[in-house]
This record gives sequence, structure tokens and C-alpha cells, in this order.
Amino acid sequence: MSVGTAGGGESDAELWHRLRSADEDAFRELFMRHSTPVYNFCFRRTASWSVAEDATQATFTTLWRRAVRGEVEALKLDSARPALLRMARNECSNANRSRDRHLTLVDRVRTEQRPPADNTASWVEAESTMAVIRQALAALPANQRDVVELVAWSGLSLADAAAALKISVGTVKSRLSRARARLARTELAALLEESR
Amino acid sequence: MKLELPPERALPRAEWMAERILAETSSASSRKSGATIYWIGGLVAAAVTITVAVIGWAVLIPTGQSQVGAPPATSVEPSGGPASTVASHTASPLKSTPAAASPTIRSSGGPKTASRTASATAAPPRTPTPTQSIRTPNETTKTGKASTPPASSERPVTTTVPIGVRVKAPYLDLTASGTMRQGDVYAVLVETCVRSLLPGSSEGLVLSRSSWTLSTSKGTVSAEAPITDPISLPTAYPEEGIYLVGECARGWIPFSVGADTSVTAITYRDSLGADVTWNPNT
Repeated sequence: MSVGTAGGGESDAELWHRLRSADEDAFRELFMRHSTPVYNFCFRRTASWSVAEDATQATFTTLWRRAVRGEVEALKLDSARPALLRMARNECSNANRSRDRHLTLVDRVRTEQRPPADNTASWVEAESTMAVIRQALAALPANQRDVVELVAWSGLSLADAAAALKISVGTVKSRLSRARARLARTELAALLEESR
Repeated sequence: MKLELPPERALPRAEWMAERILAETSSASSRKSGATIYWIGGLVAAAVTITVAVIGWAVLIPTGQSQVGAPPATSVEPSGGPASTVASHTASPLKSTPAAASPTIRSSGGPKTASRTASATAAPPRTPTPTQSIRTPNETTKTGKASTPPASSERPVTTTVPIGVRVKAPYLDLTASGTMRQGDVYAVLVETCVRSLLPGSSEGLVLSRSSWTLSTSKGTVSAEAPITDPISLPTAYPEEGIYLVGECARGWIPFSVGADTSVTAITYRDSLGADVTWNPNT
């Protein structure tokens, strides 16, 4: 992966180091570099663009608050993305849990925030498709779903996914293998083979 | 049936979201530290006031003078000094400036402050409260500074600065830090933080969006002017609210300007002496 130095500027490690001292510019740069991958990761976990947007904001808000309090851990990898996706995973779970309770609010926010020129039909279609995929993926245990989402859909390497999930590379590999075997004869098979 | 992952999308208005996160977090910490400062400041002020009251009372007793019932010739002017000074800082801004017709900025405790000070001067009780002891005729006669404004009153500020510069205005810290244009809408990211309250007030200042205006090539544009083609703003500046010391109003204010209109200045003006202009083109 080349996200560690995407943009040709400072590396993620350098930015992360500055972020730990609550450097606003470092936060902005990391946000611009990784917010869209986090957003799409969240969408694939929630099947909702608006919930994904909320979860993305929550992820980076948590990160910045920790930075202000001096509680951001040192980055162990070249890329900040695994750490961010791990945080996003938690925020997506929270967002999913509260989605039903806040459905009215979410709908209102979605209506207000959607760019006027956007194609609403394609948003809805994407959400419907993703909901079907989520339903099919539910056949897998949660730990295998996590690996699929990080490796097959978000493009993390096995090592990065292992770091994000705090498990060994071998465990990532075996979970991915089992997931592929289990879904080999389903409509999701192709989604597990692709590297995205 | 073969499923395909929906195509990826870019996060909408990513820059705004980043700024919003930074703004909200800094605002929260500012409120927290501001509240701490407020309480510490309050305790220090109370201690100082009580000390002054005790010393003043001790001076009165040995001399046998009853300054509470001091002759009118010496008590009228001094007692009128502080009272009118306080009153002018609280009530007059609402009456004397055109902007005050609309709710720009005022002390939410204004009338109470004025009446409280006036009654203390007219009939000081035997056991003065800390505030009243500072304003007794006795003390003003001794110091001869009856017309001196209270220590917390502040001088008017009129200045022009580049965009992004923070300005210390009376009672407030003001910043216009960014601009954005979309169609007919010109939005300005601003922050107003309460640094101190009006003398005698404890109920906060009312901050209003209407204190901000734009100067354009076609004239002045008010924040209250209707916007025909609204845009989404991540954090809108509040319409109006009461803020205590250390608290800030922050966010974007949209102005309706023509697409071919150039903006030459961003101005904050209130009835307490702030007249600050930011040049957005620097």
C-alpha cells in the first residue's frame, strides 16, 4: 500500500507524530488523506451513506479529541489507515446500534446535507445493493466479516489488517480463507476475490 | 445473480467536516477552560471585594464619620459617578446606536445592574455588600475618582486587519478566519468569544449574527438579508445566544451577494465599542 505517503507530502508516520501534539495541520492532512476510505469502509458496514458520514465524523472527532488530550498512541505501521479503520469499525457499530433510535434525525441530516446536484437515485440504489450484500455476508461469523471488509473491500494488506484487528497475520489469512470457502458458491464469491 | 460492491464515493465536503471537528473540539475545550477561569476569577474578585469592604468599614469606625449619611454636597457627584457609569455601559448601547434597534449585543443583566447600583447609592445599608462597599460615597470621596469607570469597562476598538487575525475588542475576542463562495452566497467563518462581562453583570452577553456585515462593491450586506439559493454549511454561526466568559460563538455566516459582486470587507460592529473590519483579500 502506498497510503503512507500518499499525496507526495509528509508520510503518515510524520503526520501522526505531529498529530500526537495536537497539530491541527497534521490532522487536516490526515483527514483529507484518509476520510474517504474511512467513509466508504463505514458505508460497507452500515449500508447507509448518511450513517457512514456520521461515523466518519465521529471517528475523526474521537481521534482529534484524543490528540488534544495527548492520548493518541504511537503509530506502529507506515500507514495510519489500519488504525483509523479500527476506530471507524467501533464508530460504525455504535452508529448501527443507534440508527433505529435516531432514524428521524438521520433522515433529516441526510436531506439537509446531500448536495443538491447529487443523483439521489444512485444513492438509494447503492444503499439497497449494499443492504443485500450485508444480508448475504451475515452468513459469516463476525470475525470473518471483519477480515473480508478490511482486506477484500478496503484493500488493507494482511499485515495491516492484522494490526487493525490486533490479531496475527496467520489468523487473518485463515479467517479470510474460511470466509472465501464458505461463500464460494454464493453471489458474494466475486466480492471476496477482488482486491479493492 | 452476481453482486457488485457499489462504487466508492468521495466524502462530501471533507474540508468543512475537518474544520467542523477542529472548531467544535476547540470550542468545547475553550468553554471548559473558560468556565474554570470564570470561577477562579469570581473567587478572587469576591476575596478582594470583601477585603476592601472590611478595610473601608474599619476606617469609618475610628473617625466617627458617618459617610453613609454624608453631606449632599460631597456625596451627590461621587455617588452619581459610578452609578451613571455603570448604567451607561449597560443601558445606553441599546438606545444610542442604530444597531441596537435590532438585537446586536447587550448585557442580559443590564437593567438589573443599573437598578442595583442606583439603589445602593441612594440608600446604603448598614452592612454593605461587597459590591456596594466599593461604590459608597465614602470611598469615592477619599480617592477622588468618582467618575473613573469601573475597572472592567473597556475602551472602544476601531481597526482594520487582514483575514485570520484575532482582535481584542471590548469584552470580546473576535476572529474572521475564512471565507467561501458558492453561487450568490458568500460565507464567512467567524468566532466571537466572551472575554469579560459588563461591570456588575453576571448573566452573560447576548451575541448575535446581525453584528456581522459584509461590504461589497454594491453596498453593505446584512447577515439577516434573505438568501435565495441556500447552501449547506457544516457549522452555522448561531442566530443569537447568551454567552458567559470563556464561551464562544463560532461558525459560518452566509451572506447573499451577487455572483459578480466583489467583497471588500467583513465587519463586526456592536454597541459596546467594537468596530472591526477584516480585509478578505489579504
